[in-house]
Amino acid sequence: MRVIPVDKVKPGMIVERAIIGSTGEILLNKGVHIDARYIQRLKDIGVPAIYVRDENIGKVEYDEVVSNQTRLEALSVARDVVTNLRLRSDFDIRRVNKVVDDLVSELVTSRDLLVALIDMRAANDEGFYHSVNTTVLSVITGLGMGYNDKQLRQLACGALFHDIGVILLPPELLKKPTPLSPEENKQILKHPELGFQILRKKEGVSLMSAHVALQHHEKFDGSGYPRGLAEDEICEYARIVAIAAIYDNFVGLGSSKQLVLPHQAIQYLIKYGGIWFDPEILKVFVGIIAVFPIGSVVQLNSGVQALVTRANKNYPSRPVVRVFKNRVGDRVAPPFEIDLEANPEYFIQTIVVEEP
Amino acid sequence: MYLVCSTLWRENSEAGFTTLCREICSELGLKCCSIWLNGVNSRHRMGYFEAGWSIDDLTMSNMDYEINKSIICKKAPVLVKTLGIKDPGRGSEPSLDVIGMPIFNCNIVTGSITLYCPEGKSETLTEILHHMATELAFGIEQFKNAFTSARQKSLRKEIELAGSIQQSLLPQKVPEVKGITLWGRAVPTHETSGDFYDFIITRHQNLGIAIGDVMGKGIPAALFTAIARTLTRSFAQQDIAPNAVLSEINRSLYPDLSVNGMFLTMFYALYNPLQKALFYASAGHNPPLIRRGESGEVELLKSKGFFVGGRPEQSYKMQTIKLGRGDIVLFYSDGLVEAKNIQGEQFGLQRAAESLKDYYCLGAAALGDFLSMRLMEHIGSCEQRDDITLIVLKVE
Repeated sequence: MRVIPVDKVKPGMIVERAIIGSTGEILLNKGVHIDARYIQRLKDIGVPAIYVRDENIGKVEYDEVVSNQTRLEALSVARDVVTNLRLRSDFDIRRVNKVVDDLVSELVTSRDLLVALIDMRAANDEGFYHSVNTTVLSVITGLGMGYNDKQLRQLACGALFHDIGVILLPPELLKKPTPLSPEENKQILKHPELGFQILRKKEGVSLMSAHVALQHHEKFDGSGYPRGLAEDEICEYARIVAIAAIYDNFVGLGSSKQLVLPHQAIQYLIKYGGIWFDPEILKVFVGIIAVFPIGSVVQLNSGVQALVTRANKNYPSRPVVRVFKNRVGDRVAPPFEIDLEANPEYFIQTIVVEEP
Repeated sequence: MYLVCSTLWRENSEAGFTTLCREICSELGLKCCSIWLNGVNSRHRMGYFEAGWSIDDLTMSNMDYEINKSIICKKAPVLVKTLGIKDPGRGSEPSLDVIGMPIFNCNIVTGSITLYCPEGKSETLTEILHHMATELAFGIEQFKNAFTSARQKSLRKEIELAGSIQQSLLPQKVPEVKGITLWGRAVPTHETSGDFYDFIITRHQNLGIAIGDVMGKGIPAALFTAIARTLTRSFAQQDIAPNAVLSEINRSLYPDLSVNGMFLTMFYALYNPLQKALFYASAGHNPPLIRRGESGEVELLKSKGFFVGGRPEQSYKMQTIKLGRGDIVLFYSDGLVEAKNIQGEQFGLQRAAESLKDYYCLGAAALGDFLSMRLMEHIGSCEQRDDITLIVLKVE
């Protein structure tokens, strides 16, 4: 299994990890043989990259941090909440609590969680996929900070609905291709308060969760909005979600149709550590992301090319890699694996993003 | 066989070595055979054949890496009897014996050869394998010498040996020191290097960090790095102040260096984990970079001092800096700043400082890995012209 930017996808390749749409529908299932029609579709929906099977490298075992079932349920709940809010200004809190519980308990039971896959999403995501990813990343960060169950659930609920104020804005406004008028801009900047008002009034939603919606655009140095809060004035959940949401926007969507790799996104986050983001939380966050995700191709100092097959929790920059091309670019058959943690004489020189 | 090998070596043909492995397997009725050769800082699988392998089961191929790594690193043969490969997908496979042998060339391990045979057959094969390893060594040697005179031949051998000795003089393990993470890497351009670095745990449990660069390349430079390292070790262990360490080294080395018109730049630092203080002195070496955890600013650990080998009696100034939580110190040789990309631009201190800023929240090892990656991306397809040595110390 390797990750390939969509513009490098060729007919005949086989999808190795299902591509899920914004509302939980499966856009391309695992095992699908890609043809020209599908390639066009991938470009239309704007996914930056996909995971494909590579017969020359062999199978790669990977774990999803949350099961597809829970992910789909979370997507569906998020969508229903928005639909209900639009229709009757209310939603069913029990379903929300149920899926939040499921998500949290799934993540709590996994040990040594490391996000080792890239969760790409379609450019036409209305915000649901982004919300669910942000929730997963936030909860894992919370785990790393030693949160208890109650804290994790409040954090999860806040993360899931942090952008509810945006999702409820008129779609025409969000998709407007021309620059926004000052009036329209004002409307967008209001979304944290809009979201806060909805969640605050809802029985069963903790005020702490509601504050995530209100404060996720606040910045650590006080330059954010709506209130210009700084450092400890910003609630801790909101400081976590701010990091998780930006990270997911980067690797999930890519920038101008280019794949953004985790190490690039992390580099960006670190740059704004202490300015936009809480540096202590950022440290925890960096520790939960596998900087070389499974399925990426790297070149080692010995000149060989290898595929990342497993992440080392204690040593994120030294994963297990499978050598499949030798120094002169010939196939290595059968490939073999090197655990870079146990073999410090080898190191990753570059990430290879080129024709498979 | 040695004729075959010399041909293969000349063509650097992994396909050829693989054919050889296949022939060996079919001749001797083996399950698998592999040949590895040692490169600078890495090992290459030159030939591999496994009967009936499948892309979905890389058990043997992965194991082969570990076995040959062990042979080459320990410079000793390996014999595993009745190796059972447990894999539900495989069903019940007969167990195997594994015998592997280093390929020696004048006491230098140049590679290894490993055979996987049916259980109980290893005894009969040991002698054949020994023979093969000798022939392979001979064949490889034959090629390397094909176009050289006898004198060059022995010179080349000496260079290889010097390189291998020098490699063994680098720290094989990073010492564990309370409150900090530490990392070091040497990226030589050729077999021998003019750079050296060392970590020394002193008598009073302080950490000595030495980095040096002998001006010049090849064997003469390598020779002086070895002497400088030994001298550093013996002075450092006594917890002598860094400035005194440097003047002692200068006093000892000056006569030899000056006669040969050579000199050496060196930086020596002593870290005291209890006081969290770094005492340091420099003999004309590039000033290390420090990124302050508190302010996020990057500064130079400037310290003036004449290089070693310049004057017979030379005193150095010791400076002290208190390190705080999150402080990162990067020691380096000039190969780092002078590494050029395809446009001829140097990597420079600016890029090094930016890397410290960008990766500050990582531990020393991960930070070092990222810095190396950025450096290698900068160099790209250009030839690396100078040895590069990097050390990262981070207060956690």
